[in-house]
Amino acid sequence: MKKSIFFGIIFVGIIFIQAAYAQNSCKRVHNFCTEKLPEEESKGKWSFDNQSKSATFEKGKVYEMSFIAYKNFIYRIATCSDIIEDGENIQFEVLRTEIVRKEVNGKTRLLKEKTSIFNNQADELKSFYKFKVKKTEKIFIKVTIPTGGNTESDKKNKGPEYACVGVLLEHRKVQKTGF
Amino acid sequence: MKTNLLKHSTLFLLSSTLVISCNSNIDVDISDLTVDSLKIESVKVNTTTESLIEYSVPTPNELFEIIRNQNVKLDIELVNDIANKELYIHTKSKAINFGVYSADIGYMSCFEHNLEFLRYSKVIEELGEDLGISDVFDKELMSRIENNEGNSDSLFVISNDTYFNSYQYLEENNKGNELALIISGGFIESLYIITNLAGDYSKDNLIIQEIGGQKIVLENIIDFCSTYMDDEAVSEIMIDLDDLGQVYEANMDFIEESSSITTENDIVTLNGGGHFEMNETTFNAVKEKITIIRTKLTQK
Repeated sequence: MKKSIFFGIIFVGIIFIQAAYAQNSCKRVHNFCTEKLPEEESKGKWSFDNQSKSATFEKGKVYEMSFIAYKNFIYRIATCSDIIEDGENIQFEVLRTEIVRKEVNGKTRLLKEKTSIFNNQADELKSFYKFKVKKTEKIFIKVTIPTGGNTESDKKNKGPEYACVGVLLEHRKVQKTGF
Repeated sequence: MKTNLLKHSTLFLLSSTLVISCNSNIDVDISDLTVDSLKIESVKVNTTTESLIEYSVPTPNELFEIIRNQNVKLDIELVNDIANKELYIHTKSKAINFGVYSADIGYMSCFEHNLEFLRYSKVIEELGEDLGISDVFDKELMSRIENNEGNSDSLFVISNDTYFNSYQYLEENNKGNELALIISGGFIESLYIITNLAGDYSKDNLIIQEIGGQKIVLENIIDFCSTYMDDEAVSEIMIDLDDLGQVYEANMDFIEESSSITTENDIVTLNGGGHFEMNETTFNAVKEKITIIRTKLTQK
């Protein structure tokens, strides 16, 4: 019995140390974005998408990244930072790119426009977003880094005005239905 | 002298275009539309944020995974010959062909051709050592490959992991120049392979539709590379990528379509939206251009 408890503590300790190490390594903070997902989102098999990103950013700034979404896949976006904010989720927006024809100064032109398709500020700071596309599309994600809160990166090199931000992308194949 | 002048003029023109089209702060690009030729000239008109945009690019394996179920058969002649490795003396060719061979093992494992996986992995490891990323190829990785020689699914995962770990390692160690070349090499090889697997043109051919989708992937690669365009090798490969982009833009059909969003079971579907679509001329032109670029980059 004592042995089980001892090994249990060691096991939890190893996981804690690994988690702390990874949190300190800003480059892979996206690995921890699943922690804020609601329980029902833990069901279903999602594959890690290699386009996930993490970066160090100044608090209060907007971090923006772009990735490619292929058709026949469902994508799940989750964002996170290492800011300790009483478990509060961070704000993010998802945008798509469209090409539209418009008249500009009497000339017909093609405009590349970004259109917002989701902003979690309007959805109680929901921690994730799931979508699929009908054709290959370029998607943008804008993450607003909170201005307050302590971060893991305080202890590291950059200082208290910086935070680690992660954008976790996961995907799974669209299940074909019917014949 | 004339060649140098031409090269520098091209680089200058390319730089100017990229500064405009790849500016991370642009929300709207305006492009001249000549309906017949789709000649496009980008002009910066609006900036809304001061943030830097990071550009992600899917791995070659993701593309092969998509075409795997399209009733195509492996053509082993399409991969880059291992013997060509001796031709790669400089960092530029080593990095580009690290990407090329990485795409090759993704392709081979995707189509269950495991015979040469280990040999190709060893070549990638050697190139990786020369590029300073030997840490990615530890004993554990090589034994994982040896232990899974008969298991295509595992090898496919391993090839993807190796590519991604190399990507992460280079990014974390500020080796962005090499990373830009590797990504470009991987993209060029995977596009070369799928254009040659696609068969004859037809509008409903899903592989050809995906070749059209690679225009958007190409845009993100060019945007990514533009961060490192001060490096001569990166700026040189950007000329090739930009040429390829122009082949797409000059030939694709613009489809005007209103966009909509539908939601079912908490999953949003993005429908419609104006976009470019493939046609036979574009397919043939892209196939020809990517073959020229790929041959040039793998034969020296």
